[in-house]
Amino acid sequence: MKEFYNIKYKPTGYVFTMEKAEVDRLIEEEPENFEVVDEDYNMPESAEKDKSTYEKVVIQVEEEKAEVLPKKVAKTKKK
Amino acid sequence: MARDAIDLQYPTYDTTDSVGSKKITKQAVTQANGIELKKAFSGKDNSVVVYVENTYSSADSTLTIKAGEKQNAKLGDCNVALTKATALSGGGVTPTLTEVRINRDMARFERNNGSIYLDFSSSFTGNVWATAEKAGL
Repeated sequence: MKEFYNIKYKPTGYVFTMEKAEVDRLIEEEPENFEVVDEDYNMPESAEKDKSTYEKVVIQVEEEKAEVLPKKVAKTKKK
Repeated sequence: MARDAIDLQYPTYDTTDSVGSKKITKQAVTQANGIELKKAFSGKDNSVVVYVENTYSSADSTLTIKAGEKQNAKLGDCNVALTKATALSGGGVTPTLTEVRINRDMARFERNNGSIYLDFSSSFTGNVWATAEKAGL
């Protein structure tokens, strides 16, 4: 028997009813865009451990910036 | 399984260049195959619109625009929720139409041959087509 859960698309607030497998996938892949409305929903373990692709990219970009940008040089007073 | 291919469909404008129209050709979706939107970048900038006609009425579905093969692919796939069709009491359904604009960061989805891959959630049934403004004068 298929389980269905209500999942909210955060940007619009619209709620969709989807099969659990699909809800699990959306929560794992795009937690920044989707959230489950039902309280009895159990999040898949992998979603709790892993960061979304979006979060990984943001972190990666920040790390790359840190490597590329030169360190701030302390201002020296002109004599 | 090879993807079913669709092409962009371009409206033809009237002699005053004010109104464009196009008789649309729909592609039935075979969920297991997915869709390849060919030459997705040949239209005018920021004008690609994908239409999904959902005829599955048991639950809402999902369209996944797959990450491409270029630099912005690192942002990953993008999922769009699709409202289910309305089941009619006498049988049959009233389809639901969803308009999806892929016009902000299309490069995220660009494959090396210039196409974009579209996938649908497991139970989805329906039709898909895509339109764009013709590039050039």
